[in-house]
Formats: sequence, C-alpha cells, structure tokens
Amino acid sequence: MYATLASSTAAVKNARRLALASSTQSKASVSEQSLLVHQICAEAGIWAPDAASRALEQSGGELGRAVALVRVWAATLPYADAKTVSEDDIEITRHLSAAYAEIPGGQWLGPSDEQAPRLLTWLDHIDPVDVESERRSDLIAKTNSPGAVTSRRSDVRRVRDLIVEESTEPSTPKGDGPDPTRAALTAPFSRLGRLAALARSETGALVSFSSVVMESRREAILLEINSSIVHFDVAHPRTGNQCRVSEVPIVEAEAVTDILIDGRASLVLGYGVSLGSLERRAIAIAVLDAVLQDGPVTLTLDDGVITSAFDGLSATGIVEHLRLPHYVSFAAYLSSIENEEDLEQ
Amino acid sequence: MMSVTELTKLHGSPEPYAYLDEVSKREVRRAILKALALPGHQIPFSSREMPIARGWGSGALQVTLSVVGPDDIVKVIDQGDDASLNAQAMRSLIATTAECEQTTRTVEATIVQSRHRIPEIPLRSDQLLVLQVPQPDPLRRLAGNAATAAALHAEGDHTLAWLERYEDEVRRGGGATGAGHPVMVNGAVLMGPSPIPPYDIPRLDDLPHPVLFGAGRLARVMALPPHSHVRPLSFDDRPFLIPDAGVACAGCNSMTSHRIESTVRPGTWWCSDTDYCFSNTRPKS
Repeated sequence: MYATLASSTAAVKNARRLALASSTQSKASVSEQSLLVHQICAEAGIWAPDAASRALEQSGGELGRAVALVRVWAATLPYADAKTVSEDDIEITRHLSAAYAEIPGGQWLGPSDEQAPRLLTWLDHIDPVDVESERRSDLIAKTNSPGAVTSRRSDVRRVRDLIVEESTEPSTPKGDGPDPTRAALTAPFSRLGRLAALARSETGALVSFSSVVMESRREAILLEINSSIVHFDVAHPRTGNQCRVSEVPIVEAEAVTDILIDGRASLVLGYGVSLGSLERRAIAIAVLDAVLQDGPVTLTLDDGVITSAFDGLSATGIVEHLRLPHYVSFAAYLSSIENEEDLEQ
Repeated sequence: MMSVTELTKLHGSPEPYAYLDEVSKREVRRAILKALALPGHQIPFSSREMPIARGWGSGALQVTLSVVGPDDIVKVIDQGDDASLNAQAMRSLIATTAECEQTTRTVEATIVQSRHRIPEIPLRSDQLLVLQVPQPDPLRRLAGNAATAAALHAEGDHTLAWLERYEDEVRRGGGATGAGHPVMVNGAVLMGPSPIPPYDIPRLDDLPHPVLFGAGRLARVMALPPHSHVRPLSFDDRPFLIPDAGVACAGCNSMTSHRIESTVRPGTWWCSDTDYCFSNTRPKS
C-alpha cells in the first residue's frame, strides 16, 4: 500500500536498538562512537575519532576547546592531495525522503531513535543491547523496507533525479573545491568553497541560521537524507596495492527550496554533507546551500529570532522536522509550478 | 504558603493522566476556550517541552492531551496516513498515557489528530479534529517579523497577503499556492490553516465539528468553532482552483479523493488518506 515509512513496530524497535548499540558500545564515558565525537570531528574538519575523544577529555568536556585542539593538531599533519571517493565505496545505512512517499530503493530507517519518546530514565541500567548476538548488518537489514536489495551508493538512485525537470539546473560542480584549511577563500565563494566552509561550521550556528532562513521561504523540502559509511582506500606507498585506511561515517542531505527564476516559480536544489552522523548538520547545510544559490540573504535580528533560532531545541526541531514526510505539501507545490508552466504554453 | 502536599495534590499523581500535569492542561484548555471564542486568532500559550521534538507535532499533542479522556478513541495521521512512524508514535503515546482506545478508522475516532490533511471521510459533530501547525502566522514570513505581523493582524491589514495573491495571479495565473493557502475566518480574521493541500482548503468551511490547531514550537493555538465561515483568500473574479489528478486512485478507484502520484510506479495515483482508501475496498459488513 501507499505509505511512507509504514510503521512496522519491529523496524522502529530495531532502529532504536541500532542507535543504542552505537551509544552504549563502550563503558568509557566518551566512546569513540559517541555523537559528541562525531560533532568534534565534523567541526574540526577531520575524521579522527581517537584524537577527538582525547581532545574532549583534555578540554574537560568543553566542546569549543576540543574542536580547537583537534584543528590545531591537524594543521601540522602532513598534507595529502584530495582523493575522490567512488560511489561504489559508499555503503548506505539509512536512506529517507520527505518529498515522496516511496522512493527508488525504498525508505530505510537505519540506526535512529528519533521516534522514541524523549524521556529521561532514572534507571541506572539501560536495557542492555546485545549487539554481539546480532550482527550490526542484520539489524540494519531489519530496519530496511522490503525491496531494498543493495546499499551501495552507486546502486541507489538519487531522489533529485525524480524532479530534474522541475528544478533549476543546479551548477553541479565536479572535482576538488578549495580546502578551507589551505586556501584563502575570498568572497564571493564558489559553491564548492562555500560547501567546504559550511561542512566544518559550528553545528549550532548552522542549525540556527538554517531555521531563520526557512522562516522566509514558502517551501523547504528534504528530498533525500542518507547516512553512509565511506570505505576509504589509498594506494600502498611501496606495493601500490589499495589498502583500506578508514571507514568514515558521513551524512548527506539534499533539500529544495522555492525560488523565482526570471519571475517564474521554481525549485533550487541544495546539497549538504557532513562527517559523522549528526543529521541536522547536513540538513542545515543543504537548506543554506539552496538558499544561498539564490544570492545573499539579509537576516533580521529581532525577538522572534531569539525564541525560534536561539533556542536550541526550537531551531533543531524545525530543521529536523524536514525529515518528516512532506509528500502532500510537496505534491501541492509541484502542481502549482506545473500550473504555471501550463499557463505559459 | 503552599505545602508540598498541596502542591502534589494540585499537580496530580507522580505520573499524571495523559502525560501533562493538571496545571499545564488547564492552561492549554484556557487557551483553547479563548481560541474558540475568537475564531482564527492566534492565542499564545506557554508551550511545554514535550517528549517529541518541537516542530514534530508538539503543539497538537498538547492540545490532544489536554482534551482527551478515558472514553475517547484516538486516531493520528501524517499526510493522511495512519501507518506513518511519527503518527504511530504519537498515537501510542496518547493512548498509553490517557488510557484510551486508539483506532485507524476515521468513523470510529472521537479525536483525530492530523498532520497536513483533513480526513477524507467528513467528521461528525461528535468528533474533534486537531491539526498540527508548523507556522501559525501567514503574515509573519511576509512582514519579516512577528511583532509587525501581530500589528497588521490587529489592524485587520491583510495587504501583504493580498499582494502575494496578486503576484501569484500575475506569475502563475492564480489558483493554489501549494500547501497551506491562507483563509479568511468569518470574513474578518486571516488564518494560516497549516500546510494542508488546496484540496482541503474549501473543506474547512461550515464544519459541524470544532477544529483545533496547535503550534508547539511557536506556542500558539487557534480554533474554528463548528460552522465557522472559512474562505480561501482569493479575488472575487479569480476562483480558488484545486488541482485534480484526473486519474482514479489505483487502490480504490476513487475519483473524488485527494490523490498523490506514486514515484515508484509513475502514472498511478493513490489516495493520501489511507483509511478512506481501505474503507472503499474493505468488504462492507
């Protein structure tokens, strides 16, 4: 039947177990898998979870200082040229669209506790998650909708392909952008430069600004969000054989917002990617990227912004709610655009 | 001075009925009563932190929890779908904490909480519709800030909304603006009806039951008492157009329901209200 993320209670349960499994893997107060560590890596702009947990400890849990420690440490590391990751080496663990009820490849919940009630428990012992007895990949499979046969990025169609005729032709830049740690970015940035700067921006700022920007738009729809593991190989310096050096979790998001092109209503596509698995970072970047392609944005600072953007829960709520299904309103918007096209013909 | 015992008594049991403590519920109810007395107006209330994320239906959830009783039968839909994860999570939270029945059938429900759809099967006067609202003020985006928008509402100055309709008219020949087309309530109050599709806009008019709107993140409730006069904001000589699929639902053959095109099977259209679709195909008992 036609349903998005049809509630299979088992899928929700398994998604939660997966999320818990990652968060309770280590007895240490800050495990390598902690989302806090993901956040430090993302804001530092380098995937180095061991350095990040060390930095967190040495900063006494002060996030800003921990990010600074990692960035300073990374600045003195030997620098290698960028290497493009093949889509064959990206394994998707979570794949959702808010724009359509069904998407090619299916909607996969993956590790997630978003639907679990946000209630603090005073129990000392949280339901132990027996990750040993069940392989992580089995759990991932159980959160996926039937019909999902593959999880390789190269085999999963991008949702944006479904609306390509409606959307503006986005400048899809190929190749390396400037690295904000090495290049002196001068405004106006290229889109690649901007995306690179956004990718390592502070999480709270991304979410706040994105929430402010969304207030001034008619539409902001999340076409696609993925959590993936990037298997990263490099050539061995002596033998030349490919060696796996890292498995890096990333989040990718693609969002569209409304835009006027030559007075015509249309859509503009934004892209966001972040190290780690903090989805609100990638969603916020995608929204900001879409809006900024329409040119600079003038922002107002007033009391409304204090309640909606400066309150962390409020800003996070509006940014993360883009993950919820929006297919009815998105269909309505698409149909109003088509209406306009019919009129012109 | 209030004693701890008195406070506890006032507050209710350690695990309050229907999640919210009695003081909070009373406050939401007062706001609802005020909203019913001023149809379409945005009434502020001190929105509580709920066990779901803000922007995910926390306002409607507070409304539902403030009015639900043990005899109620609750239905929650998201985009018309009972099986959506978010809808299911809230339905289960309401039914568990309020110790009431839950259903997916519109005809059985006493309270229908909905995100962005009005159920296809018309509700009766003994039923209640609660809509989730992300952005309660249709003037806020246009005015640039909440304070200016509030002043414009107070003065009955809807110029900005009319101007936007005019621009839509010039650019795309009018008709629908996508979801959440603004409406005039009782000819006087400009209201954002939440992002329901154009199909649902005329269906807000002269309903036999009340409609309550909850916006948790922005801390507002609105209401339409029964038989409120609701009209889409549109020019007299430019009728409000509702796009039609033109293709019958592939599930139940309905030509009148709100249908959405499938992306997996392009060319097939399906009712967005799953209960309506099921009830058309379910054997009649």
